[in-house]
Amino acid sequence: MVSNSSSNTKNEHGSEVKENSQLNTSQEAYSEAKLESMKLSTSLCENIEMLKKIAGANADLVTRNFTLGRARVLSAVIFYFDNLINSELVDSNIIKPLLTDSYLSGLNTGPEIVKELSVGNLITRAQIKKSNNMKELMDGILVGEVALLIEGTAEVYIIGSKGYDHRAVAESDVEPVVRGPRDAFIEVLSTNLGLIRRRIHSPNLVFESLKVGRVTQTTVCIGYIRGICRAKLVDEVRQRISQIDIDGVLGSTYIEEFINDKSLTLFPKLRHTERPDAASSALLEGRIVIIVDNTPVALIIPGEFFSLLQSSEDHYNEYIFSTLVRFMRHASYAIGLTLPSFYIAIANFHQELVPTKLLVSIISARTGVPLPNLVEAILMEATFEVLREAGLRLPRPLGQAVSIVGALVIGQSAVQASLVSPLMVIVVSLTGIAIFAIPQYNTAHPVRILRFPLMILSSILGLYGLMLGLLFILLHLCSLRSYGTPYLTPLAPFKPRDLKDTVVRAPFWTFSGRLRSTIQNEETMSSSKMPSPDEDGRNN
Amino acid sequence: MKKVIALLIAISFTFMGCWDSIETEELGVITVIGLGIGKSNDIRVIIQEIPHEKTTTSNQSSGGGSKSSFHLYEGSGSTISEAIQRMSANEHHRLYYAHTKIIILDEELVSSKGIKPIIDFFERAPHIRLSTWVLISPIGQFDKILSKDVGIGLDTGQILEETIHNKKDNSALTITNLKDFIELFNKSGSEAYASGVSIKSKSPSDNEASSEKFYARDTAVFKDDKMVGWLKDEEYIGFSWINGYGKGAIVNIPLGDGVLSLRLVRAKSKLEPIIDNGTMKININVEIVSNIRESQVSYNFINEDIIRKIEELQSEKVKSEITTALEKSRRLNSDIFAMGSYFNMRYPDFWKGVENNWYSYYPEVKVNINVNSTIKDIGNVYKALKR
Repeated sequence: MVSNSSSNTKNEHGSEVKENSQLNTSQEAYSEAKLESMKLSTSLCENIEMLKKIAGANADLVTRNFTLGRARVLSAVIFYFDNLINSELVDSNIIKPLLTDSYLSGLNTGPEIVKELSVGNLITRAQIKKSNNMKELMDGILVGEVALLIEGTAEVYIIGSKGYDHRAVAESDVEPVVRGPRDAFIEVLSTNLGLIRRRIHSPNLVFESLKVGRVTQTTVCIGYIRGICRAKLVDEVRQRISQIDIDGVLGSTYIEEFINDKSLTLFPKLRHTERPDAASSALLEGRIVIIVDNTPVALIIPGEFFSLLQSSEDHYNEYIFSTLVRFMRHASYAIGLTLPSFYIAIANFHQELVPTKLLVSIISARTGVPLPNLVEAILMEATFEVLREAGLRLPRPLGQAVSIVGALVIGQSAVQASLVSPLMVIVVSLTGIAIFAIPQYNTAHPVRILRFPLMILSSILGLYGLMLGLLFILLHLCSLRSYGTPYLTPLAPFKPRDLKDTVVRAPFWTFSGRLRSTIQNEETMSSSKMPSPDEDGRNN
Repeated sequence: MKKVIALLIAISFTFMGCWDSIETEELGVITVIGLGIGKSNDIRVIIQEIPHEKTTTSNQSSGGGSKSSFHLYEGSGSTISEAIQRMSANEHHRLYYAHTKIIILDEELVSSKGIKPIIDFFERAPHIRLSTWVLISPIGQFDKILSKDVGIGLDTGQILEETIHNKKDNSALTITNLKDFIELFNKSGSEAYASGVSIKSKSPSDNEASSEKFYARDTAVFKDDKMVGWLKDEEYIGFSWINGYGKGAIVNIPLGDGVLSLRLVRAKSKLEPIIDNGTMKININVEIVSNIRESQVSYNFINEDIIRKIEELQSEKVKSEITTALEKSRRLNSDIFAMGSYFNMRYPDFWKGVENNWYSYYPEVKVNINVNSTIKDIGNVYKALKR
């Protein structure tokens, strides 16, 4: 792109016309169909000409000419993008065998070498394929493969030698755990697949790959376990992904929005994770994992409400503690959603519901505050959201500044200046902390948004309005489906068996089958009884 | 979505809840309502409001104890609501009655004008809770009780409420709340009663005003809607065995050369009305369970005979107390034992005949008292002390 536009300017100036014609570039775009129709010829010059026309303007395209054989010399050329390949691999596995090793094994003429090549010898790289059209050639070199063209052969050897810079597998920042594995997905698809495959050694674990994006040609992998995941679900997801027709996929959200059932809702309908262990456990529960190249976040389908309130840590901690944590999490979800509106309803409408002493302290806290309760609450909650966003976007060293401003200016000075009542500060910060306790980032979004309409409702109608709002939310949740799974399973429809790993976290030996009842191939597990010592009570 | 929005708007217009919305700081929280008699023989209402104090984050507290713990508002009118309306029209706070703890009725008012209009007002008003305590102030103390700030930083309502909570568990005194009061008044064959409240200095020698405090004591007895007299605490105890509120009371029994204190654990009573050849009889069966709490005599309580003797003595004591209370109620001619209502329940047809001049029959009702008392626990000391 850059060199294209620069050649354009040169063209306008007119002084560099010669160089422009030499590069043989134009602003013509090449569609896939057109590339496919461009067949390679036996003439090397023609092929090079054709390739230079398509990609010659790129500064990072490397062309290396050489000859094959001492007698009956055939000229050959390799093309690659030097920032996508591992140059050591190219040197030792492609160029060296062709230029030196072939003579050692007695191949002295060009055609002999070509013949040897065509049966799969000489080049030691494992990933090698032949093709006769430009499309596959371009696809190859654009993902870090090397194209080898030889005079007199109407085919190109596409040799895999990918090697580009990427982040090392590191600890997850977004979903940290105390017990359990620390590794997190990175931007490289193959590494991510490896992280999962290392956990599930099963021939039934399948990663299907699809290309999405007209321009970006991004690889999207659909992972599932055959025999556990419902085949219909896989078909549906595959079909929905293959229907996507956009220019580029730069993150998994692009895919998410295209494959969601009914997107007019605030509630997330699939789970995001950057933990391979969470992805693996989802696979074992019969869910589908979608991994998009260049995105360290995998999508888990279907994501019903209660699975979005879980953390992978729940399965790593002992079950009683995890159960209590889950209760607490549900409570904080409720607090985050309703506390400010509950406070407004109580303070504005139902003063008779509070104990007298509390009412008196509310009154004395509010004395002198110029704003009505609702305005005060909305202002404070909005301030909190702004602070939160600012803290997220600021360069890390400046994060301290936000907390100082937030704590001192908003927290203390505003109270001292009687702009807000101390009780409201408590309510807002409690709400904020409750929202932070929700383990998954996107699950908290509906809470953050919906508490504002709830505040307005309860300032109009009191607790009645709050209940009304909550009922609407409940009805909405009941109407949602996540890829065919009702959003509120296992509560509605009620599946008592599945409550064991949603509302509570029962010990693993209580499950007579797999963790979720909605998955295929329900087989009882033989270890479904409480571990206990032998009859005589002695083990040693 | 459009439907939801339309519905929301429709609902918010139908109910117009905004009209009920009030900012908390505009409320004047009332904790005590006092009803007395005015100069021109009308109803005088005094209320106490908790003052608004701004909580300061700084440490410098202003003034100290000079601030009053409540504000007083006063108004009078021919009805309670008129008095309240006249009073609240002149206030900058909206007077808020939902947190009323105590209703204090002046003896003068209830013995001359009666409680009928008062009960009607409180029963009709939705914002006053039925759990509000009803107390009667003796003649001449009404103003003092309501205006006195005893200087512990609490308003009278809270002080009295906490006193009552404490007292309920630690004495035989029955404090009636609004619900009981209304029920006793409305029920055929029973009369209302309510505890009295007075203000006195803590010790008789100390006459300083600041050391005065509130006492919930004695019981005002009503007949129909007028108050007819007081039941002193000593007289009242006998009654508490019957209405079942005696829990926590101490019964002292003279034993040998000392006194034995029994603490009541449970008192159950059953009134059995009997009509025998046109004469009305009533059997009062009382079952009392108590523990030995203190003994000034060296007895070996392991001995069952002694326990039996104590039980007997306790029964006698309780019986005499009941008789005292009964005599007093007959003297006041007010059936606080609600005997009439038992006749009403058992013999409704017969009751219809006597209902209208029940008080000509009331003194003649033969009362037979049976007390069955048990000692359950003798405490940690089971041997007699040597010295």
